[in-house]
Amino acid sequence: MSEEENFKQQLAKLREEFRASLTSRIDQIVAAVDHLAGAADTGIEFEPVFREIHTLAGSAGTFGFHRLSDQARQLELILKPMLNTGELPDVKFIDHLRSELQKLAGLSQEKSEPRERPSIPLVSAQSKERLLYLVAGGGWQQGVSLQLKHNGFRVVSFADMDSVRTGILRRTPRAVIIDLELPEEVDAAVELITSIGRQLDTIAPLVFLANLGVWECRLAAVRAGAVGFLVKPLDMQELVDMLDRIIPREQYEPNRVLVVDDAVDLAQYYALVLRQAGMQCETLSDPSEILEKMESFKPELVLMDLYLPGLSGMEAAQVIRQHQAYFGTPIVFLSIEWDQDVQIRTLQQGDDFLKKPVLEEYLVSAVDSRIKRARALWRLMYHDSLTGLLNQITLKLRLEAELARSRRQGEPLSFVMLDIDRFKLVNGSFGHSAGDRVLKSLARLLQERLRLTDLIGRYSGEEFGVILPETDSAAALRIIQGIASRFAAIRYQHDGRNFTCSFSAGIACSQFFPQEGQLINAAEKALYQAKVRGRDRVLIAQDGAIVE
Amino acid sequence: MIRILLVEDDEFMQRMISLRLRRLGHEVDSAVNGKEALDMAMMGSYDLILMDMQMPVMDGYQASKSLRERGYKGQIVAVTASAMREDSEKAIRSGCDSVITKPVGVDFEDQVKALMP
Repeated sequence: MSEEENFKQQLAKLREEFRASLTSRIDQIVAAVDHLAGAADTGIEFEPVFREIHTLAGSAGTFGFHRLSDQARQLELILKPMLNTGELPDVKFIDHLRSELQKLAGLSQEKSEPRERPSIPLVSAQSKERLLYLVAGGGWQQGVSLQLKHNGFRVVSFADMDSVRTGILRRTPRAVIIDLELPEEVDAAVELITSIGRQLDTIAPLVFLANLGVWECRLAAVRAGAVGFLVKPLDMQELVDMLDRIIPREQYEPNRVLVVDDAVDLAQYYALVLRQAGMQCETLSDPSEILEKMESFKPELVLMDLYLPGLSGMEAAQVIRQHQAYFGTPIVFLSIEWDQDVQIRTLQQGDDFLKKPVLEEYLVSAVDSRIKRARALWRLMYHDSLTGLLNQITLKLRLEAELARSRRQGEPLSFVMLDIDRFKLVNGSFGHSAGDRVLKSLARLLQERLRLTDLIGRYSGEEFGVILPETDSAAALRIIQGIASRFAAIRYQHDGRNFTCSFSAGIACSQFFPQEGQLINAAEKALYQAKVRGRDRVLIAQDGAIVE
Repeated sequence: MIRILLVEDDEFMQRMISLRLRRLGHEVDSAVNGKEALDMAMMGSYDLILMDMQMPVMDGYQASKSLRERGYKGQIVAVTASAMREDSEKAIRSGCDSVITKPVGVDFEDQVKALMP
């Protein structure tokens, strides 16, 4: 027998052994469930039941029992929220669990399909990082790679398609940039592009840099999965702008939904449906706790039963709406109410009305679309449209709140004012579009280099404001100087001409300037001094003096 | 050929994965829970740890976290039966470098190959 046959036989034997073990395995879970029922309130033994079902879902799929695996997975999804809340299943639920487990036992007798499904792609650490793979030849590669790094990307270079393919298998980057030397002959060029697409076969967006910009090549690139096609000579800024568009900087944030329903099982059910759709969900049965919950969980949408004990959903909505911070939070009512008058009155407080029972898919899409809209509105209201940073008003409001917090916690806070040097000269000699690129690239750099807890705003024109909580002026100086040197290294191109920019900055710390007005003032003065002393420097404001 | 520590409480999974990895010439040691894995990882010199997350006694999250706290620098790959994003993130936060999702698929060997140091 060949080694290969031997291996296959061993695998098949293992699969049969696994099948043979399934009955007793499921029996054991049933026994544990019975035990759970007997233990009633004292039971803490829920976790092993969950774990066994979870493990079964994984193993059964691996051995080709896909139906059993899927069923076990569904059970797991129902059990999981209970595990997290520590809530114990009631008798009815346990009965249900038993019958579901019997079904699993039935499925174990089905034929296993050795035809395996491919596994789900690898997930890797540091997904926040904007990782790019670059395939480029010659000395050219180093320059591009360096410029991309200055713009806040992490770049890994590969010499050829084979090595980048291995790289992709190991970890999917946020984009793959491929430098192409296309043959002059169009058919051959198309063939090359097509083969690369097939070879890489990745979900990562591809960007081609090519020496040939004819329509056939662009079309082939799109078909090969490219989202970008740039013709050389390469305009670095164009590439960076394109990458900015295709790689969202914001991390995917799940929707946060608060479900308010006095019927606990219903609330749990809605929460389960929404969680399965990838949302974060918390439930509340006592409406008097609603404001505390709003404060701690910060939901983006409230799903509320119209009839709650003690007060109506409408009144609860009024209570929420009285708080300015929640004024924009959508409230969606759930009710069996058919009366149009009630519906109309309700809609004066809430944003929508879903009639119970509501279809699962409809619930998910209704919630999702409202949160999307609320987020878009939120961005419009509080952000600067060019850079996506906070606008001046929002930054000042946040500064007030952050200062109050730093006082409570006894931690210093630093405020930084930043101004791009000779910006008018950039606008004057290269035009406003070049100026906008500089503004955007500084915004991007600040977002990349600062912590998620830091707040960044566009103050006005070419002026930026940064709030650094829990940071004294010495630390702030180090951070801002680091950003300054990176910013100065970015090379901009416009109409074939190269230029670079720098910025000046002033830092003020709450240790010396505890009031908001004083703090902004001091940072502005330090910035002004930095300009007077020759620009391209960062100064700290300290009690009456400005130091470097 | 590399040295792999396979941490898996399901006997059949453990046998199958070992079988598949040994066929490629790798050396595979097994542990049945996080606690065993801790001792073995700190003693032995493994190139890769494949760690199940849901296990009795000590789960994979705890084990990965403890390993990192003890200064373990090697690669830890979570092998989890959960496809939920939050669980993958939890594994990464616990100190794992990457996550392979069960059911283990036909391309498992490729995945491991790609992760080899």
